[in-house]
Amino acid sequence: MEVLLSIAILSGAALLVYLVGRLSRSRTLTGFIAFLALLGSGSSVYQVWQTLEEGMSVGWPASYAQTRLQAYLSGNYLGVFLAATALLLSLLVVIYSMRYMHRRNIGKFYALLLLMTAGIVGVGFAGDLFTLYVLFEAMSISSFVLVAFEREEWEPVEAGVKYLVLSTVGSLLALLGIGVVYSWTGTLDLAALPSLLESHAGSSQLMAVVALMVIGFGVKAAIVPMHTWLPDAHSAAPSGISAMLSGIVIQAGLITMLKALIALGTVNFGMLLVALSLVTMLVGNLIALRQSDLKRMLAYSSVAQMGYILMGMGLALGFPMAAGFSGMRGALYHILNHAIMKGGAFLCAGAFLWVLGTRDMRKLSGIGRKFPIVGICFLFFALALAGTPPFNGWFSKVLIAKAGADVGGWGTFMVVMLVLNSVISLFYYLDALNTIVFGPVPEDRPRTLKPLPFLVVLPIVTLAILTLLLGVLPDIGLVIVDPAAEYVASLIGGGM
Amino acid sequence: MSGYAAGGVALVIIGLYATITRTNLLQIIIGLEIMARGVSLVFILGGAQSGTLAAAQAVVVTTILIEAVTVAIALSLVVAAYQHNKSLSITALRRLKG
Amino acid sequence: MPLGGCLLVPVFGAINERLMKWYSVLVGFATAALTLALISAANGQEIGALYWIPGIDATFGLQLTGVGMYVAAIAGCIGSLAVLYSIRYMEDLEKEYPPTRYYFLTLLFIGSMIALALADSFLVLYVFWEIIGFCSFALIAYEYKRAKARQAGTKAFIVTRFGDIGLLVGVAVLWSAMRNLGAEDPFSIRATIQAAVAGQIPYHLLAIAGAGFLAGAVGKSAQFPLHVWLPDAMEAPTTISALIHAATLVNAGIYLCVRTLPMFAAISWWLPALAWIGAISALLAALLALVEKDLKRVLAFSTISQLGYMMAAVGAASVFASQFHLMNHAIFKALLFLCAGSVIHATHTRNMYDMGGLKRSMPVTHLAFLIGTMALAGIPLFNGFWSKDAIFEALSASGQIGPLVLLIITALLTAVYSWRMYWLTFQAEPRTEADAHESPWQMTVPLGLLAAGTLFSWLHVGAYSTNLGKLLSHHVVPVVELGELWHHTFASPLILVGLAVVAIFVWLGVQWGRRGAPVPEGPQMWADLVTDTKGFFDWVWGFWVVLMRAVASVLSLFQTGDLNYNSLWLAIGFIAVLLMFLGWG
Repeated sequence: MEVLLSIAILSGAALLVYLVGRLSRSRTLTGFIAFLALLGSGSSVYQVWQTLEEGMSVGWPASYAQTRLQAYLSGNYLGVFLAATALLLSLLVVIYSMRYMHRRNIGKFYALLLLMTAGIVGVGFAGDLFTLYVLFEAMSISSFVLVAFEREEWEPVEAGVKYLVLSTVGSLLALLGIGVVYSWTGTLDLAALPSLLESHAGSSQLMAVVALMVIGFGVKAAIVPMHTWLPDAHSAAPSGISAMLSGIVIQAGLITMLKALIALGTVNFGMLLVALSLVTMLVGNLIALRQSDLKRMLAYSSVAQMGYILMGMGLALGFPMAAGFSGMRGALYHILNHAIMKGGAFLCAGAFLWVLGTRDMRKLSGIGRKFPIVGICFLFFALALAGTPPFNGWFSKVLIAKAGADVGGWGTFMVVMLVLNSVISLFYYLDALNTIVFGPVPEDRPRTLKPLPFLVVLPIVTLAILTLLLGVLPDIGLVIVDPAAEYVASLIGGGM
Repeated sequence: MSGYAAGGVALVIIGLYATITRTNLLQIIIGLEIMARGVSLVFILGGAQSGTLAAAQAVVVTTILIEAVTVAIALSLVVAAYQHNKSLSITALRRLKG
Repeated sequence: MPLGGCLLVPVFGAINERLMKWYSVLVGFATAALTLALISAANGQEIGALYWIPGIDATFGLQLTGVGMYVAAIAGCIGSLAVLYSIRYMEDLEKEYPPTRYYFLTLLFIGSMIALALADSFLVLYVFWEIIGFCSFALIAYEYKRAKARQAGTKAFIVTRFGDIGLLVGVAVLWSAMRNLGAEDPFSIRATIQAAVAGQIPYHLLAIAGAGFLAGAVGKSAQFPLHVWLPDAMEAPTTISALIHAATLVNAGIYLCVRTLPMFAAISWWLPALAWIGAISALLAALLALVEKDLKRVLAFSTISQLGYMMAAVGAASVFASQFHLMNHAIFKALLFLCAGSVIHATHTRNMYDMGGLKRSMPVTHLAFLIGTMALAGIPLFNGFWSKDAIFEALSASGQIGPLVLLIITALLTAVYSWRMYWLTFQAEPRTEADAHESPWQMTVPLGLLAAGTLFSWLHVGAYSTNLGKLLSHHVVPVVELGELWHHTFASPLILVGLAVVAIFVWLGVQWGRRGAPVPEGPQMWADLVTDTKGFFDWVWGFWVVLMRAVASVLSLFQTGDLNYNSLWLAIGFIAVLLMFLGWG
């Protein structure tokens, strides 16, 4: 019941926020309602966690196992992890948007944001493939509208169209795969599928289905070559939404893919995912080198970071005995870290955009010194993204590297590539720092700029503190990462 | 039976082909719709095969609902794009690149 | 201790600038005293193993080792002198750059280095290794309004990070191996060494880790072919140069090699690789130093060269020789850098051809610099002489003749360039209009202390070698008493011949220095080209960067922004995935 509640609170509040937004247009009021809804959802997720800790199962509907096709939610540690990360980031984005967004349409904005969060939370808890798909679509559809939220501008509209078309094609392909599986087994239950599909093991049809899932959900997860929508959408969206998209939506896509692939269990797709991850991180990092638009650079870097996460997952799925647990742990921890650091970086970019109305790094030169708090926070995020201790990114990279070493042989080579990539990323992060924080102030910039509102700075600072905290004491993150990794490792039959 | 399945897959391929080759936004959206119909067909087939046709219908109705929402949003974006560019061609939507 | 201290710097900075500076000095000296106290109190216990990341069984383990505590003590002592020196030296810059950042980063830097040296966990070591990398970036780029400083900082960070690829891989591989052995703390350096010596870690894993650690050390200690960042790092304020090159950053690489020596000594190619890399770096850097005109960059090249000696000494499996040289070098190089800082402070130029004749106007600095030069050139009775001699001995004892020959040639070249440098700067006629004068006491006191150190540090070799061997269960560190050292060195008549040859080369250097700037411009142009590119290695690495950017621009062509292409990529991706599946079955 709590599982359903965590999603229902968000959806219900979305409706409420929209209505209130029609009536009052107050950013504080609507934001506050959204804030409360997220807290409420968080408390039910916490209850789910507590129930799981007691060793009891939790889901909805609980006794619905009579028919063969069922739609249900089931509480699990992976879902708790994803929900916690999503709610945390969403909470901060809500606060941020109270001042960042325009007054107009604010109700709609928060309603969609809550729906998107509900979709993400639901993806983690979905118990069968179709529920997974529906909630995945709920997340996607709200994000289409949010990307194109400022439709007076040409850029969000263009990005929105591209995002919508590609994402829909992808999810339809995935749905086709689900349909084929359904026609074989007559059920879509994630837990029941692996044993039912054993008779199809090794068949080329099953491989085609896996390929459909990888590609279909891979669009959302921005795996190269399906990443083409990402830089457009992430840079054109309102900054709070960019933070959500980069920080958690694409990761939710990846987790959707992971859940679907685990259910199809019999094909060894680990190698494939590792190969894709290699391409993804290289392409993301290299193209990011060429960007002069700050948000676009961050978007490409998200592609690269997805590559790191995918590598951890691929190693875990490919070698469940050797790296099942350690790979998942690295991947999931990197999801958490990435939500914090990339979310923060996008919020910083948004703050600069809010002040100067540009995302061009040359024009932003030296802005970090004008707003030293945001500037220092940006420094934290950039270094964290490049994997420098004592900021949080390093730890998850070490964990993924450990997974590669556990695999041994070419796994070690993969680690070399991973770390080499993080050196490449250092090029553009230091470039960004050197312009935005240390660069000279352009002559034509006005002397006095409008001050940043407190509510815009607060989430940034919070994330920066988290960045430092998780970097110095990584154990805090492991508290929610480890159960999730253990859960997945047990599903794929991995050792510790 | 497999004829139906092949038909469904063929529809998906046709739809995908439309999104790759058509330059008119509306035609691309129609391509999406064709894909969705193909997928629905596969689901109905699956229901018939496994004897859970009623459940399959529920699934199909839900997917149609989702498609309707997606297409509504897509069309609203197309309208916005038309207002900006005075064109429905995707060649006018190539400014974001690199 | 300084780590905690550095956190308070901004607090004091907010209260009062003057107070903050003196507070920093106080922290610095307290640290120095503490690290020195560690040496006498060494009892082998872990000092403070906190549960750091229980989830992965990682403790924040610190352990006193003979090698580590000296590296820590060097960092603490020389660091504190550099901080004292900064108070006056940095005054010029303070108008433009608020000094809070400077003192914060400096203390963080020193503290991290000490933590690195005392760590008993590869994970802790890795973390602090990266933190000092970051600090060096921030400090080299301290004067961020100058584009050159920013570039130099960026370069230092990226090049050292490039080497760190290996370190991280090594840490991961060892972690994995120790985990499979069921170790209690899979990161513990002691336990890992024990397992490696006992042959419990498979040879091929050990080899991967060895290669990785070597790469990390080469990057951090600016060895060939990753030496390119160090000369550029001279854009930093001179105090920072002294810190980086003498007390902290570059020593980390050597320390890492020494610390893990028993682990990797079994790998057949590991020791020779160290010896050759060290020798080649030493020779290359010495050659470049011969024709450099920038005072600080000569010192930078000489640092690379001297680090090459230490690396080669590790390659000869001699803990004592490398660490003895590390200590001596730290002292005399800090001295030379601080003198150079004093000179630059007075003359406002770094070009040696514009200096000259400073002997009269800056007597204290002159004397200190002379002592430093003697030590660098390996003149007997100064500390550099003894440790270099020990390195030669170690190399010949281990039978690695190739590196030995290279290093002996380097020693002769060192005599030339160091005397050329000295002569150009202090002797001859003044070539500058600047009104040079002696520096204030906050600057000369550190000089005096370091000069004394340069003169006498070799006298406590007995205690040094005894302490060095303490608490290291698997290292072989013979105790070398003073008399023994003396006897060894002067026993053979060859030494007299050697000294005579050195004298000739010193004379050569003086002659060269006397000529001042080369009269025809041509040769100087070539010299500048060679030294600016660090022996053309900038081009070698630059080529890869250019290539990387070229690949990037080709890749970005595929991002056409056309919706049809996006869908096409999706279809291609699908087909590719399918083919991969069918191919792999």
